[in-house]
Amino acid sequence: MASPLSPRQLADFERDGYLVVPALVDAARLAALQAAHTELVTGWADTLGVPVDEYTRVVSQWTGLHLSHPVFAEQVRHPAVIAAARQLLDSPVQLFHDHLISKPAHASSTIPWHQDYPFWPVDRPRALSCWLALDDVPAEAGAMRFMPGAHREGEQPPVDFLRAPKVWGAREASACAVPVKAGDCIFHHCLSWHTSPPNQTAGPRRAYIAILLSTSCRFAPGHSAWHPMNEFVSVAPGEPMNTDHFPIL
Amino acid sequence: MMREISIFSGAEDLCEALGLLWRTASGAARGRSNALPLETLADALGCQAGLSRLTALAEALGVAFEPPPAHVVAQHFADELLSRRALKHHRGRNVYSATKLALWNHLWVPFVDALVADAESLARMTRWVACPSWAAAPEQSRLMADLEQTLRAQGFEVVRHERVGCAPLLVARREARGQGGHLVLYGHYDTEVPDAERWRTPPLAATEADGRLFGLGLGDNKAPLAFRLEWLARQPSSPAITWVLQGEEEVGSPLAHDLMHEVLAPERASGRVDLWLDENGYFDLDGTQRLLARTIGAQPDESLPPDPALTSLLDALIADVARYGLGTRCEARGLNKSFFPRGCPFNRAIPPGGRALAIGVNDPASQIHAPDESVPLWTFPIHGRQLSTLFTWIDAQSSAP
Repeated sequence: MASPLSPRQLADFERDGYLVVPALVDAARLAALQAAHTELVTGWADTLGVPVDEYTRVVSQWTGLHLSHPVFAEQVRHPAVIAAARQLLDSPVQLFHDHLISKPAHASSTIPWHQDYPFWPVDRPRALSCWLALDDVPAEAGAMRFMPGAHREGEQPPVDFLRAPKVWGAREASACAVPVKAGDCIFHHCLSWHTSPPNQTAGPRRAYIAILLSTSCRFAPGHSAWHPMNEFVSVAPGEPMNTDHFPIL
Repeated sequence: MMREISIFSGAEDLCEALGLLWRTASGAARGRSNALPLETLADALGCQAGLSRLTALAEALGVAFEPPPAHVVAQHFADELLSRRALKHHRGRNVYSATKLALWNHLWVPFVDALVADAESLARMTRWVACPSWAAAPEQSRLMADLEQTLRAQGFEVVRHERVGCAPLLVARREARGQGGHLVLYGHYDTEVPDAERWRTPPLAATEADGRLFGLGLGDNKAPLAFRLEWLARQPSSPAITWVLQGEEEVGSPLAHDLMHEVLAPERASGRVDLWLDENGYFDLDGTQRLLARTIGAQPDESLPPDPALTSLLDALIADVARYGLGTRCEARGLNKSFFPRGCPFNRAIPPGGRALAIGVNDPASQIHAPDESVPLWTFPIHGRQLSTLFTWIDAQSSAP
């Protein structure tokens, strides 16, 4: 798949900092991803000795699923994802990590306004997230909200989610909720400002997120000394990320 | 972080804060760090008996605390433990930190002001640590000016005693405000020169970790000095106060040795000073407070046992520390300053019969005059409560027959 995105889509991403690509994966793959997640959480709940519903009420984020299940390993190498990411970053891409975030029915909270890049141990903001909806996400189900264009205003210090949230003031009215259907994907720039409210519906709201770096990025632990991926880095600061754990796609 | 939980250290924050809370409520020993494993905290606090202990502590400390239902607390602990097990086992977690926040808000927040240093003092300590203030540092005058300005803003008249090549000796005096009696305090605003390569944190950047604040000169003497200033600013009434502050203690106090008797001549001659309070004091590593109290003998800095009046003060200070589930030991001596050949000029200036006390915020892990100097944050509220007791006692002394 050479260039799936149109010049208009590329311009939209450049302008807004995010881009919705409808139906990035088909129904069969979507069902496989949902089933793989269910299989994993069922096994993990059993291992920890708790009922699945209790486990999923509490545990809401899983990192490194591509290392735990072949369906997720396939998904991070999905040709459409890779091709779109290469176009958006104008570069070959490398997997930083993946994770799945769940907002269970009536049992989630707000993820406050933040940028992703300040949390990552890389030296330049040439990266994006591929946010794949595994369920329909209408606005009331905790749809992502973006501040269009804010990614062009540069990097701010990492937001501490447990402290006072960022206040936009009158600009808050410019924020855009982005409801999507299961299988749709939101690509968002690593400097985009985004948030998501609680899921207030009776259904699940799961998103599988792959974080892709331009291969021009270099390891910079001083940018985020605490990141959980740091333990998998075997290169020196200033060098390209080791491709055994951070494969080039 | 003890005053505010952070996404970057939330698990440690919670165990440190609730560990201190439970140790205080149960009367257990304090330590270099007061963190307890979450499993231990769940057993201790996730039940009615544990919450009743917190209620009793709240009453002892005058804290408004409405205990949540025990089953709710137990569920929060169970959820947080599950999240931690999931993280360890397969990199799963509660991304919303909801239970962590609930435990923090319901159990810790009501007690935070009673159990750790106040935000204003911490901000002043942080600012002062960033200012190099060893005797030869050009920036030392900036810190001295800040200190002088703060004292003036609190109504002190400040006299700066200067000599070429020496750091100024400040003598600040303030009339009584609604209370009788007279207190003389000592402190210093200089530090040693840091051996930065042997520090684990930047010596000139205050760094909070393990329930302590690390930074050059905090234990000796910036932290208690900053805290006492901020504490005094909040007091509606006070006795007459004389505060003598020098900038050369770590180089042997040359100017202070020459001038101390002279600058304190009015206080020495008046015979009306109720208490002479040294720069700091210590808690043992298990939390037992060392009360260093003495009556000055005929020779300079000679220690005699506390007289009956001073003993009554000690009884009140012991009652203060007992509220925190801690014991005390009393010794009739001053702070150990034997590393200076001529001793402490302040202690040598206390006249015969003067009542002298050394209490403060340090513990043996404070490592004064060594890398990784720090102060435990839990000792400050106790010090504040004991300063209040001092004021009350001084007021009573002034009206005693």
